[in-house]
Amino acid sequence: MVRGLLIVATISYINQRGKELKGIFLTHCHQDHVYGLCELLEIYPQTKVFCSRLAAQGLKEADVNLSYIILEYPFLFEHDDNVVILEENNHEINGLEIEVLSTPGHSDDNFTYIIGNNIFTGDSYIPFAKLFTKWPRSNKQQALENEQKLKQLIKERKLNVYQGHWW
Amino acid sequence: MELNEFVANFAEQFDDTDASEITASCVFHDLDEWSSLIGMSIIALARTEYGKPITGAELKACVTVEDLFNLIKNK
Repeated sequence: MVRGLLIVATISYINQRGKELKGIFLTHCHQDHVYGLCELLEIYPQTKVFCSRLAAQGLKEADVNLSYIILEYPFLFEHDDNVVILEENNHEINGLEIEVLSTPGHSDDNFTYIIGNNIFTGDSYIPFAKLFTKWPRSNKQQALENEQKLKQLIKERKLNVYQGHWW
Repeated sequence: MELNEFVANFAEQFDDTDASEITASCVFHDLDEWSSLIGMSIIALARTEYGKPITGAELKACVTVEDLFNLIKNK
Protein backbone atom coordinates (compact mmCIF):
# COMPACT_ATOMS: atom_id res chain seq x y z
CA MET A 1 0.00 0.00 0.00
CA VAL A 2 2.80 2.41 0.88
CA ARG A 3 4.43 1.57 -2.40
CA GLY A 4 1.19 2.38 -4.25
CA LEU A 5 0.78 5.67 -2.40
CA LEU A 6 4.32 6.73 -3.18
CA ILE A 7 3.86 6.00 -6.86
CA VAL A 8 0.59 7.93 -6.97
CA ALA A 9 2.26 10.85 -5.18
CA THR A 10 5.19 10.79 -7.61
CA ILE A 11 2.92 10.70 -10.64
CA SER A 12 0.72 13.47 -9.24
CA TYR A 13 3.80 15.62 -8.61
CA ILE A 14 5.00 15.15 -12.17
CA ASN A 15 1.60 15.68 -13.78
CA GLN A 16 0.60 18.70 -11.71
CA ARG A 17 3.75 20.49 -12.76
CA GLY A 18 3.49 19.46 -16.40
CA LYS A 19 6.84 17.74 -16.11
CA GLU A 20 8.25 14.73 -17.87
CA LEU A 21 10.03 11.94 -16.00
CA LYS A 22 13.26 11.62 -17.97
CA GLY A 23 15.46 9.83 -15.48
CA ILE A 24 15.58 7.98 -12.19
CA PHE A 25 18.85 7.82 -10.28
CA LEU A 26 19.33 4.80 -8.04
CA THR A 27 21.69 5.08 -5.09
CA HIS A 28 21.61 1.28 -4.79
CA CYS A 29 19.36 -1.65 -5.58
CA HIS A 30 17.88 -2.53 -2.17
CA GLN A 31 14.15 -3.11 -2.28
CA ASP A 32 13.30 -0.20 0.00
CA HIS A 33 14.87 2.06 -2.63
CA VAL A 34 13.55 0.47 -5.81
CA TYR A 35 10.02 -0.74 -5.05
CA GLY A 36 7.73 1.07 -7.46
CA LEU A 37 10.41 1.40 -10.12
CA CYS A 38 8.81 -1.15 -12.45
CA GLU A 39 5.39 0.47 -12.10
CA LEU A 40 6.85 3.88 -12.95
CA LEU A 41 8.60 2.46 -16.01
CA GLU A 42 5.35 0.93 -17.19
CA ILE A 43 3.72 4.38 -17.01
CA TYR A 44 6.80 6.21 -18.36
CA PRO A 45 8.45 3.67 -20.67
CA GLN A 46 10.95 6.19 -22.06
CA THR A 47 12.42 7.00 -18.64
CA LYS A 48 16.04 6.06 -18.11
CA VAL A 49 17.30 4.42 -14.92
CA PHE A 50 20.80 5.55 -13.98
CA CYS A 51 22.85 3.46 -11.57
CA SER A 52 26.09 1.59 -10.98
CA ARG A 53 26.87 -1.63 -12.81
CA LEU A 54 26.48 -3.62 -9.61
CA ALA A 55 23.11 -2.00 -8.88
CA ALA A 56 21.91 -2.91 -12.37
CA GLN A 57 22.90 -6.51 -11.76
CA GLY A 58 21.32 -6.47 -8.31
CA LEU A 59 17.97 -5.31 -9.68
CA LYS A 60 17.57 -8.79 -11.11
CA GLU A 61 18.65 -10.78 -8.05
CA ALA A 62 16.25 -11.06 -5.09
CA ASP A 63 19.02 -12.07 -2.69
CA VAL A 64 21.01 -8.96 -3.64
CA ASN A 65 18.17 -6.41 -3.76
CA LEU A 66 16.72 -7.97 -0.58
CA SER A 67 13.24 -8.40 -2.03
CA TYR A 68 13.41 -12.00 -0.77
CA ILE A 69 12.54 -10.74 2.71
CA ILE A 70 9.14 -9.40 1.63
CA LEU A 71 7.75 -12.17 -0.52
CA GLU A 72 4.36 -10.46 -0.58
CA TYR A 73 5.93 -7.79 -2.80
CA PRO A 74 8.14 -9.54 -5.31
CA PHE A 75 10.43 -7.30 -7.33
CA LEU A 76 10.83 -8.52 -10.89
CA PHE A 77 12.84 -6.11 -12.97
CA GLU A 78 12.53 -6.63 -16.72
CA HIS A 79 13.39 -3.18 -18.06
CA ASP A 80 17.03 -3.68 -19.00
CA ASP A 81 16.67 -1.41 -22.02
CA ASN A 82 15.93 1.54 -19.73
CA VAL A 83 19.10 1.10 -17.66
CA VAL A 84 22.08 3.39 -18.17
CA ILE A 85 25.23 2.37 -16.31
CA LEU A 86 27.19 5.26 -14.85
CA GLU A 87 30.76 5.42 -13.62
CA GLU A 88 32.17 7.64 -10.89
CA ASN A 89 32.65 10.93 -12.71
CA ASN A 90 31.00 14.20 -13.66
CA HIS A 91 28.18 13.69 -16.14
CA GLU A 92 25.90 15.96 -18.12
CA ILE A 93 22.55 14.27 -18.53
CA ASN A 94 19.71 16.10 -20.28
CA GLY A 95 21.43 19.39 -19.51
CA LEU A 96 21.86 18.53 -15.84
CA GLU A 97 25.34 18.53 -14.32
CA ILE A 98 25.61 15.49 -12.08
CA GLU A 99 28.57 14.42 -10.01
CA VAL A 100 28.56 10.69 -9.37
CA LEU A 101 30.51 9.32 -6.42
CA SER A 102 31.06 5.65 -5.79
CA THR A 103 30.41 5.17 -2.06
CA PRO A 104 30.27 1.44 -1.33
CA GLY A 105 30.05 0.12 2.20
CA HIS A 106 26.40 -0.17 3.17
CA SER A 107 26.32 -2.34 0.07
CA ASP A 108 28.79 -2.74 -2.76
CA ASP A 109 26.69 -0.95 -5.40
CA ASN A 110 26.23 2.41 -3.64
CA PHE A 111 26.34 5.66 -5.57
CA THR A 112 25.95 9.17 -4.20
CA TYR A 113 24.80 11.96 -6.51
CA ILE A 114 25.55 15.67 -6.28
CA ILE A 115 23.34 18.01 -8.28
CA GLY A 116 23.96 21.69 -7.68
CA ASN A 117 24.00 22.25 -3.93
CA ASN A 118 22.16 19.03 -3.24
CA ILE A 119 23.62 15.65 -2.35
CA PHE A 120 21.64 12.42 -2.52
CA THR A 121 23.39 9.96 -0.26
CA GLY A 122 21.03 6.99 -0.15
CA ASP A 123 22.23 4.85 2.76
CA SER A 124 25.88 5.90 2.50
CA TYR A 125 25.28 8.78 4.88
CA ILE A 126 22.18 9.38 7.00
CA PRO A 127 22.73 12.36 9.30
CA PHE A 128 20.64 11.04 12.21
CA ALA A 129 21.46 7.33 11.94
CA LYS A 130 24.45 5.09 12.30
CA LEU A 131 25.63 3.32 9.20
CA PHE A 132 24.08 -0.07 8.69
CA THR A 133 26.60 -2.62 7.50
CA LYS A 134 25.07 -5.98 8.33
CA TRP A 135 23.91 -6.99 4.86
CA PRO A 136 25.79 -9.78 3.07
CA ARG A 137 27.40 -7.28 0.68
CA SER A 138 28.23 -4.67 3.31
CA ASN A 139 31.76 -3.61 4.16
CA LYS A 140 31.95 -1.68 7.40
CA GLN A 141 35.41 -0.24 6.88
CA GLN A 142 34.54 1.04 3.40
CA ALA A 143 31.26 2.41 4.71
CA LEU A 144 32.98 4.36 7.46
CA GLU A 145 35.59 5.77 5.08
CA ASN A 146 32.97 6.86 2.57
CA GLU A 147 30.74 8.33 5.27
CA GLN A 148 33.68 10.41 6.42
CA LYS A 149 34.40 11.51 2.85
CA LEU A 150 30.77 12.56 2.37
CA LYS A 151 30.64 14.45 5.67
CA GLN A 152 33.73 16.38 4.63
CA LEU A 153 32.28 17.21 1.20
CA ILE A 154 28.99 18.33 2.73
CA LYS A 155 30.78 20.58 5.16
CA GLU A 156 33.19 22.07 2.63
CA ARG A 157 30.59 22.68 -0.06
CA LYS A 158 27.65 23.39 2.25
CA LEU A 159 25.46 20.82 0.52
CA ASN A 160 21.83 20.09 1.29
CA VAL A 161 21.57 16.42 2.28
CA TYR A 162 18.83 14.16 0.97
CA GLN A 163 19.32 10.76 2.56
CA GLY A 164 17.58 7.48 1.91
CA HIS A 165 15.75 7.09 5.22
CA TRP A 166 13.73 9.45 7.35
CA TRP A 167 13.50 7.55 10.65
CA MET B 1 12.07 -20.74 19.20
CA GLU B 2 13.52 -19.63 22.52
CA LEU B 3 13.36 -16.11 23.93
CA ASN B 4 17.02 -15.97 24.97
CA GLU B 5 18.19 -17.10 21.56
CA PHE B 6 15.91 -14.55 19.89
CA VAL B 7 17.20 -11.72 22.08
CA ALA B 8 20.77 -12.67 21.11
CA ASN B 9 19.86 -12.71 17.41
CA PHE B 10 18.10 -9.37 17.78
CA ALA B 11 21.17 -7.88 19.47
CA GLU B 12 23.39 -9.06 16.62
CA GLN B 13 21.66 -6.63 14.27
CA PHE B 14 23.24 -3.75 16.15
CA ASP B 15 26.77 -2.56 15.66
CA ASP B 16 27.51 -0.17 18.49
CA THR B 17 24.87 -0.98 21.08
CA ASP B 18 26.21 -3.08 23.91
CA ALA B 19 24.47 -6.46 23.95
CA SER B 20 23.85 -6.05 27.68
CA GLU B 21 21.43 -3.19 26.86
CA ILE B 22 19.27 -5.53 24.84
CA THR B 23 17.06 -7.68 27.01
CA ALA B 24 13.58 -9.13 26.58
CA SER B 25 12.08 -6.05 28.25
CA CYS B 26 14.14 -3.57 26.23
CA VAL B 27 12.03 -0.86 24.52
CA PHE B 28 13.93 -1.18 21.29
CA HIS B 29 12.53 1.91 19.54
CA ASP B 30 14.25 3.97 22.24
CA LEU B 31 17.72 2.61 21.51
CA ASP B 32 20.01 5.28 20.04
CA GLU B 33 21.03 3.02 17.20
CA TRP B 34 17.49 1.99 16.23
CA SER B 35 16.47 3.10 12.73
CA SER B 36 14.36 1.90 9.85
CA LEU B 37 17.51 0.25 8.46
CA ILE B 38 17.79 -2.01 11.49
CA GLY B 39 14.04 -2.52 11.25
CA MET B 40 14.54 -3.95 7.79
CA SER B 41 17.21 -6.30 9.07
CA ILE B 42 14.81 -7.48 11.79
CA ILE B 43 12.21 -8.24 9.10
CA ALA B 44 14.94 -10.17 7.28
CA LEU B 45 15.83 -12.01 10.49
CA ALA B 46 12.20 -13.05 11.03
CA ARG B 47 12.01 -14.32 7.47
CA THR B 48 15.34 -16.08 7.16
CA GLU B 49 15.97 -17.37 10.69
CA TYR B 50 12.41 -18.19 11.72
CA GLY B 51 10.61 -18.48 8.39
CA LYS B 52 7.96 -15.98 9.50
CA PRO B 53 6.99 -12.89 7.52
CA ILE B 54 6.36 -9.74 9.51
CA THR B 55 5.46 -6.30 8.22
CA GLY B 56 6.90 -2.92 9.04
CA ALA B 57 3.60 -1.93 10.66
CA GLU B 58 3.67 -4.99 12.92
CA LEU B 59 7.25 -4.25 13.89
CA LYS B 60 6.34 -0.65 14.70
CA ALA B 61 3.50 -1.81 16.93
CA CYS B 62 5.83 -3.88 19.11
CA VAL B 63 7.23 -2.11 22.13
CA THR B 64 9.68 -4.56 23.69
CA VAL B 65 11.92 -7.24 22.25
CA GLU B 66 9.67 -9.81 23.91
CA ASP B 67 6.65 -8.33 22.10
CA LEU B 68 8.50 -8.92 18.86
CA PHE B 69 9.43 -12.44 19.93
CA ASN B 70 5.76 -13.19 20.63
CA LEU B 71 4.69 -11.67 17.32
CA ILE B 72 7.06 -13.89 15.38
CA LYS B 73 6.42 -16.98 17.49
CA ASN B 74 2.66 -16.72 17.09
CA LYS B 75 2.73 -16.17 13.33
